[in-house]
Amino acid sequence: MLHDTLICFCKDFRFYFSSRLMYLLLAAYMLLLSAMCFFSPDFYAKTEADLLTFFMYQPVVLAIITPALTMRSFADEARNRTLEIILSQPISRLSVVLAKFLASWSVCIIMLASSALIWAVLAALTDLNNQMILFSYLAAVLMSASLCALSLFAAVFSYSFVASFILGVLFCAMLLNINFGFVSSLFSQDSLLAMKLARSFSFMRQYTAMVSGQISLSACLYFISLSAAFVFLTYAVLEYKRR
Amino acid sequence: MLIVKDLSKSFGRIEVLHKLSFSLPSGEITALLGPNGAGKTTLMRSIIGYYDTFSGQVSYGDTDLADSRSAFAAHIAYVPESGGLYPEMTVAEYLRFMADLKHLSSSEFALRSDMLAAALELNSVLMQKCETLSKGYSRRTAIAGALIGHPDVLILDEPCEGLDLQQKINLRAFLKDYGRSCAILLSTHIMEDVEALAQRVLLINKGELVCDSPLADFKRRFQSNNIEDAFCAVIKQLG
Repeated sequence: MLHDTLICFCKDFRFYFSSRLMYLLLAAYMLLLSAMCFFSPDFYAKTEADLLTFFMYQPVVLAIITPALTMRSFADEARNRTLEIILSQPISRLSVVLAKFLASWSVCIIMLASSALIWAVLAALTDLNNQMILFSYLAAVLMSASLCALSLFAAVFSYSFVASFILGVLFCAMLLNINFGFVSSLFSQDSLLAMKLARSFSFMRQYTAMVSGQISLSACLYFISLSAAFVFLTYAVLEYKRR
Repeated sequence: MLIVKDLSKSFGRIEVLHKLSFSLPSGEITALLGPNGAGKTTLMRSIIGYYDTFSGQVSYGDTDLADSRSAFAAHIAYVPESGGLYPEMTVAEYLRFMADLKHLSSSEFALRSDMLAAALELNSVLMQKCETLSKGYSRRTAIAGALIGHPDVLILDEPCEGLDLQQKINLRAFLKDYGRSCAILLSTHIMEDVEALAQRVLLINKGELVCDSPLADFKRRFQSNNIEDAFCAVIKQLG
């Protein structure tokens, strides 16, 4: 399965760089992130040099960028009639989905790495808490995996670019805004554990904690399991569509 | 030999294929005919294992599609009606990718790709991107990609569609020659292809197998000298 995933990954990864869309998205990502950061009053009001504002905008920007990245994953294969070919090969179909996820995530990591340019510029001008920033990047990488998996899940529903993109943005926006406040409000003050448990499922809460320096194994596991769940759901929908 | 037994396929409540049974012996080219919407594409997709759920049995030798899809898929290759190529890949990269999917070794790949590129006259376009290929080269590249894994059964959907006369003649000659060593199922609306290539005809209508006979018998049965008249006669008869 690893070999099959690697073959498909190389194909999918190359696909991203074969179109101009990828470079446009990279430019859009940098532009959006820079605009959001530098025009935000919070960015200048901060006393600590940890780029927290910069990292807090990452999920918002990536919630728009990742659906644009993955929207062609299945639509192009269906349009070119290569989906029939690849799904009838002697390879695991899960590896086809896994490769698409890994390819889009790799592109996201490249995007995140390119945003380090902002870090480099600021580091030249002022003293930054570099260790904190590195941890924040780790959080952003893990968070982007979940968004990529969710966007891929949205893309499998429709073989139309536009529908995939809209659905992807919608799903990502929902994930970012779910804070499980309504669940925790159901519990009385006594059931503190239940409240904590409900709140711990909030995507933004987990991410905020990580970029604030509270790196924990549970937060890492949260993003990894969320990504794995959406990759598997994508596979399940793909299988269901061929019934 | 590929054996299809009582194959039925439904989408929801709509039954598209109804208890189809036939076999595709090695060394024979079989034409799959039928009017639009008869279920030809669904049948081909079911045979290649694209659809997971159908009733009946599809097997090659001892390998059953339902029991081991991967092992079964190693015997089958499919070329869809149009496309089937990755536009961003060069022809050589596409062949390499298809060989990797079929788990071919590097030496096997080199041997097969050289043979297919020569036979299908692809040597001049090996470094060209698939998106820049003409219709003729695209079809031949898709066929080369399907054949790179040395399949025992080749399923072709309209292989000569959109080709010029010389390209059709060349491709037919290649398929006729290649068909001696494997089973070919050829779905087409071009009756000259059937006349030139097929030894047997499978005719389906509304998801049912109407006719499974040698080409000569098919024409004789409908008292016609050519396949086109025989096909029209049977479709008229079926309403």
